Amino acid sequence: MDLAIRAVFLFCFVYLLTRIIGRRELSSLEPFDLILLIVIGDAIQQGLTQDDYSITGSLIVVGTFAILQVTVSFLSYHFPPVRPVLEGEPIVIVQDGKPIERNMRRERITVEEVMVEARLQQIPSMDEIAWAVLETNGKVSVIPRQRGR
Amino acid sequence: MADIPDYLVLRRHRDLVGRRHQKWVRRAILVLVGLVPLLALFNVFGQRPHLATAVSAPATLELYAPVHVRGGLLWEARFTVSANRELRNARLELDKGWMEGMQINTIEPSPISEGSNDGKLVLGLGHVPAGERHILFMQFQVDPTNVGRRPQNVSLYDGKTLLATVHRRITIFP
Repeated sequence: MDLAIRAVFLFCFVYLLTRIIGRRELSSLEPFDLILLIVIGDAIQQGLTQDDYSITGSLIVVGTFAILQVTVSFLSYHFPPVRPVLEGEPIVIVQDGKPIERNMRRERITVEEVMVEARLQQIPSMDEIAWAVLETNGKVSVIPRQRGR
Repeated sequence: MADIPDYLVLRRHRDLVGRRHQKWVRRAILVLVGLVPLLALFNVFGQRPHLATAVSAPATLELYAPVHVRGGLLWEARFTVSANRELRNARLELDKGWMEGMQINTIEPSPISEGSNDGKLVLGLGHVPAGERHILFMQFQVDPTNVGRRPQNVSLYDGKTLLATVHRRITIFP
């Protein structure tokens, strides 16, 4: 029972952490971020199972995580009002080639970062961006202006 | 203006109507999360040792041990008995909170006798000459499932005479 309680607590804590850290930080994994992610995973594992090396212990923890993950997914799908809380919502950061400073500041995203995403989608200049949207998974989707418009 | 992508609502997703409070909620939670390591710096979650002393005319008992620990931690308690007069048969009585949910890794120097008195652990230290000190180290590890607060009083006896008692409680965080 102790393991299941630990698993529930840490699942909620990590979920909360990923919601408040900021989606941009989570989506861009620089080498340092990757190392940090491994260290966080290791720290959580130690608090979770401590000295329990049993298969039963692993089954309890993994099973608890699986059930919680499915529960979150179920709630998000069947109860739309809780979806913004569980998953967040997209934010428009560029419209008609003009960055929306307030929204970019809120998500700590720079024009340079938007332009990196734009170039990756073969869009060379800000003027050619119709919409740039910071999605709930932390990625920036860039929609180009239609040619001739 | 370019066509608005499907499922984007400008009032909500661009103008953030009804979402202004979100950043404050996020900041408040972040402060709460940051508060935990800050409290840890002030020893709220252990395991910096704390000195407690009980004084009587014949002897002084000092206990140097943490009062906050966490599951799985290794920690040490140091008992110092200072004899102001000769103690013929010094012994320590430890509440069962010392042993409950704890692994006792070692006791040094080994007591000359061990026993139980009404559920308390009794450690016989033997003879302590006047003006001398007897230092006893006990090293523990907290069972990961051991959570809560427990009394950890320690009493120093000479034979059956109570000389001094250190009153304390230990808090074990999960």
